Amino acid sequence: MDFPFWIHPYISGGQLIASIAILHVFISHFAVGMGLYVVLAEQKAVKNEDGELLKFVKTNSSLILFISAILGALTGVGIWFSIALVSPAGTGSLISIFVWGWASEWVFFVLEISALLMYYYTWDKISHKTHIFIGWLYFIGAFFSLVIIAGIIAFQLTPGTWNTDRTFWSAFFNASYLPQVVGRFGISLILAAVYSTLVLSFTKNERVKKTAGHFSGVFAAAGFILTFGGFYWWEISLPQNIQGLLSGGNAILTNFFRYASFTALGLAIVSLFFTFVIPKKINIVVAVILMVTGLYSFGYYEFARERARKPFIIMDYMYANGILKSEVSRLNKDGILSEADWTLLGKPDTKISKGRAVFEAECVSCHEIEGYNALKPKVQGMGEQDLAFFLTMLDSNPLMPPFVGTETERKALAAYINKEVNGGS
Amino acid sequence: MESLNIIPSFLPIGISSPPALFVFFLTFTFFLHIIFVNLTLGGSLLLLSSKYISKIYGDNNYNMIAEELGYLNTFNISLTVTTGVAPLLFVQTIYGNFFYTSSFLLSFKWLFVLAAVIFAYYFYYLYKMKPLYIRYSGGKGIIFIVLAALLFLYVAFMLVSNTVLSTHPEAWKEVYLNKRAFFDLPTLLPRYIHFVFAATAFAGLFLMVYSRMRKSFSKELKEKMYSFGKKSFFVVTLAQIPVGIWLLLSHEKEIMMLLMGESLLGTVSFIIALIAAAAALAVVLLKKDNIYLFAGLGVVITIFMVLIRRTIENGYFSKYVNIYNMETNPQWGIFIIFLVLLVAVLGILGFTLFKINRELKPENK
Repeated sequence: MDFPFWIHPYISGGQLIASIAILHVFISHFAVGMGLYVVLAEQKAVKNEDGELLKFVKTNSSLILFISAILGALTGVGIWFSIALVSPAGTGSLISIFVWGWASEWVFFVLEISALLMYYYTWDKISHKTHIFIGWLYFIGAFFSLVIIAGIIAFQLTPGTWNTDRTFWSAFFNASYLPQVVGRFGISLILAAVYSTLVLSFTKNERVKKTAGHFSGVFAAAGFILTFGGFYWWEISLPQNIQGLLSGGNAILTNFFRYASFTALGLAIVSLFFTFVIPKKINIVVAVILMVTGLYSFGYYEFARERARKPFIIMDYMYANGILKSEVSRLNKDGILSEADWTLLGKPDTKISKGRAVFEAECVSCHEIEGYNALKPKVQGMGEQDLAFFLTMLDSNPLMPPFVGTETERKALAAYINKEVNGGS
Repeated sequence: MESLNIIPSFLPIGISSPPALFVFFLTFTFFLHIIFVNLTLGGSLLLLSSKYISKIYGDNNYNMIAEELGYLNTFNISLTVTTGVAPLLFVQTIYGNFFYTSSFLLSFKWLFVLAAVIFAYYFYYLYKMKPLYIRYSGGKGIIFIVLAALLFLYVAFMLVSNTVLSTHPEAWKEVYLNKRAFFDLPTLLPRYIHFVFAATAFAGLFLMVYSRMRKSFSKELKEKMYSFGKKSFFVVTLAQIPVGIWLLLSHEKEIMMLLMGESLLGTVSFIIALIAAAAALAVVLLKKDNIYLFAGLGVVITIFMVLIRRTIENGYFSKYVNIYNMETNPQWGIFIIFLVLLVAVLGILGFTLFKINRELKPENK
């Protein structure tokens, strides 16, 4: 918590990360699925000596180049940039634990991007055999990126025995890891099928449209089986209390998880119908509808997963505001402001400004007074005394961390919130 | 000292290898990164220069040099981004508390780096592919490279700023309270200019070597490309002499002395880099035509400049912390897997490139 905090009136930390991350996952998963799609489709086209299908595959591979290698790669770096700005302590902890895992993922990233460049620029210039070999290299690079990153994401929610033994392997092979790999690989296959409809909608050759449409349908079908299976497995792999939150215990979480499932089901029906039954009718409108539905479905799931580990950034270890669970009792004695030096810089020594400093140190990583996840509607009608009392039982909400700090700090925070919300003095 | 208070402390978790290993991989992967940075940034500036020359003198060879650089730079941008991820990871591992804070202080200016690279990248593809009417337009899309070059100059400025700001915690409070501008730090401007010039010189050296490697180019084009690279390298490297002295003197005396006797690695690197740069200038003057010599000197200069950079930055950081005191909780299994993967992937990529080169038809070489 002795890091400075991201505070901007126009975009909160959560919004900043979400806006970059949602775009990134939508592209990065596509990059995995499409890798398999193009290489298998190329094999099929070469085997059947189908030049037209080969052209279709080539256009699909240009989607990977222009979307994944540029926007995908840079939004990936963007997640690094943004989480480091918003949750430096959380990011630093994850890096300390997983640095060599991330370094290994980087090796696969190098393989992925290098193979992609070689694959795209050697179309029609080298033998099919070598070209397909490079295609497989690309897919292996992309797939193993997913295999590694899934471990780190799953760890945050289910760190399991890492909390006692602190080893890399117990952190990585955690309870929800394999379900994440299966579910996310399923999403990758669905997204490959969805993105391919974009190319299909511009394909004039009806025979290719039918062949490739069916091919996309097979990807979509396999993807939906893996996705629904993987995420059902994921849900039952979670601790009982989180399962409870996702299935009725918490309205927002439950709704997000349901929306994700229902939109995915809708996506399944529409995409399978178009690719298998009427592939020739696929046009740009259908493709855009499929893409937007896919983005929503995936977005809801990622939001649900992120919220499920609240109030922690690493379950049972570090709270979302960067405070370690193990440090709470010490900070209750010494005061949060004894460590949050940045929040006091340049501020006068008054009760209100101390309250504001506590707000910046503890609350601002998730809440604003107005705007994102706003406090105002949550505490409307409470006076300063009520607020001070309310703060003592913050963690009666299972998604909230406890208030951390001394009694003076708690009263100062109450005074600050009261002033901001009720205009008191 | 108040600046010590606001430097965030090490995280209690412990890093997963001895710090020296991270310093090594930070330096090594940064070396890989900077090669492509040089080619991208320097290449963009040389592209604009050669396009300008082709317009002034009506020499189509220079236009072809510009087109070739446009073609190559899309690869270089990709590889710059890809190789940049590793040093970003390692710098966060050992200097995260400095790096996060300086990134925070730069805020949106730092985040805009991402958007800048995305736009510059797409601009390059517009120039390279010339879709729609661009191929019929007068400038053939050169405006996109002008924009891309400006964006890259911005990105370079932000990267240099973040590094310099992270090494000067004593300035953080004033920067945070808007009492001082981050670009007011004494080493920032000379360091930036030194860096942009170095990138241009490196790209010049690269053009010399590249012109001799392409079999399908006409003899005239090869010669023009060679001499254009040579002149760029020579002029910019001469200009580096005053800029380098300015940069050296802009450091605090104790940091400067690291290159002049106080640090063995710093001093040796400094001497070798200076000798190699002087040798490269002499070789150009003597009209020696040996691309292996040029390539070798370019790599030697880059390696030792990277080591000098590490020495200087360690010097600044060690005023505030000793990273070698960080708590470690070694995880050797995954480290060995990383090492094996790295070697295997580099081997596979080398093998694949070799295979492609063997199968390519002569007109594509």
